Amino acid sequence: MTATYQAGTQGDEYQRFLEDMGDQVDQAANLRTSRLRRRRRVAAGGLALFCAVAGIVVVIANGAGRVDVVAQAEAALAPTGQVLRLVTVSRLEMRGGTHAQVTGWEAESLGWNKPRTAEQWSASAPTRWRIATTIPASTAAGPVTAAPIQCAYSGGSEEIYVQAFRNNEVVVVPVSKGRDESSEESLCTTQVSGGLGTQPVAHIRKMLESGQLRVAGRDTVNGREVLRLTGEETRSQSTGAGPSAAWPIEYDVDPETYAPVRFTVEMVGANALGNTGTLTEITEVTASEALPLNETTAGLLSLKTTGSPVIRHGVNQLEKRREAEAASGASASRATSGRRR
Amino acid sequence: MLKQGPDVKALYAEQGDDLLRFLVRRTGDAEIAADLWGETFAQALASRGRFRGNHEQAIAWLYTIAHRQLGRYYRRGKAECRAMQRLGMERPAMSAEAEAQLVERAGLDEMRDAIAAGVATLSDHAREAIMLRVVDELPYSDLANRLAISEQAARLRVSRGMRALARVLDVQTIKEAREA
Repeated sequence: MTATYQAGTQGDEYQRFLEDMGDQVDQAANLRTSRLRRRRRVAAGGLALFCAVAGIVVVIANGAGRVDVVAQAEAALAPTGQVLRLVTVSRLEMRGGTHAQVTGWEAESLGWNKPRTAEQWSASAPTRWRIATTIPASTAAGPVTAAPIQCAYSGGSEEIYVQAFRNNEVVVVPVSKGRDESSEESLCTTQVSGGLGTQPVAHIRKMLESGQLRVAGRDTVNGREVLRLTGEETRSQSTGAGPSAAWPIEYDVDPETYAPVRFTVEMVGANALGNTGTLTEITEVTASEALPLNETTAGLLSLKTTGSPVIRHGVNQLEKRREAEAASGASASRATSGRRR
Repeated sequence: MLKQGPDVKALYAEQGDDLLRFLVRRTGDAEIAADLWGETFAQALASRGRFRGNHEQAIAWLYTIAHRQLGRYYRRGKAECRAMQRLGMERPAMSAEAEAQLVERAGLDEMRDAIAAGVATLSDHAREAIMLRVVDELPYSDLANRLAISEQAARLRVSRGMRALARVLDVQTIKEAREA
């Protein structure tokens, strides 16, 4: 135990006593946290088993294969030669908590307790997208309750544009090598995104492609029948959710057209700002249309700016951090091998 | 991130010493205070998932748990350690030197002086009732017989005396009041 407790200038013996008790508190706290995580894993395992069984039952009942549903859902998100336009309304709630609403001044200042509307356009081959929404922000002129923000991706770079920030500036940041536009490293992640990253369409499409989503059955959402696909993904430590946080994901599609209806992600382990339960983001698709890809609609995939914004080339902070961690790891390894010699 | 209730480890680092001294002043016994203190943190760990609030509220919540422990101790005459046992915690043994340092830091001697001074300010009837009840630990029926009053009157006399004494129990409060 190396912590020094706020005990002023008391003698060594008393300080040691405080430190010994501090060790007990530390150990009990760590033990309890790991027990809670284990219970969650067991619960998640039970849910996954239930979903798997439900999926099998549905597939048998419908006479349709998993691949068909997944492929159809995938095709609906990436219509060839078309621009997919979605209008979504996202909200956060606490699942399994004492109350569903996220409360507290932090949640209020971050806009967590208000639904957020976003409009997004996407196209495949090559992948391009733009998302336009609003964020709670403060500027030199004072607090702004809803500042418009846009993010766009094409050709391996992301662009972010907030007119209210700085001097009408567009920041361009390259996406890391070997990663794609659905990656959680997105420049826009901290600004506009929720549990599914900046671009839920790209994210879900990637999960469908990699077979991470399975058919779980039918359900009713807002009085409408949907086909549900479920899965989970492991979040890396860079998201702040811990090294092994598995986030359950539900993707509801129209059973006839396979058009997206709702995305739900349970951000297990995410900071809920003092609220109890699991922070869960529910994104409902309120409008969906596929537009023919032409010169006019291709313009929807690029940032819409006003005036003559300054273009600033930023650094991919996540990539930079990874490089720094790799460098420190290598130097630590050299130091260890040096000591061994 | 994993923000499941308050950070009890951080609360301990910040409030552990203050809370222990608070309990020493209210029990007059370093060992009993340490037991109540350990149980308070164990209960805080066990129930942190149910707590919602900011840092200041977390401190108030911790002291509420401590007050509850004190209340039980006053009623039952012994400190509980169920939460500590459940969590596998063991309150570290306190050396004589550590205890002496704690008593000094808690201002226990000053508090005893203050109590003596407080007792001196009580009426003869109240002082006698309190001495019989608290020091000699007589049941109220015996106390009533000894004072030749009804049991209800005995309870009232002790209660009034204790309320008067309670005002002088927190040495820190007295010091601050004097300095102010």
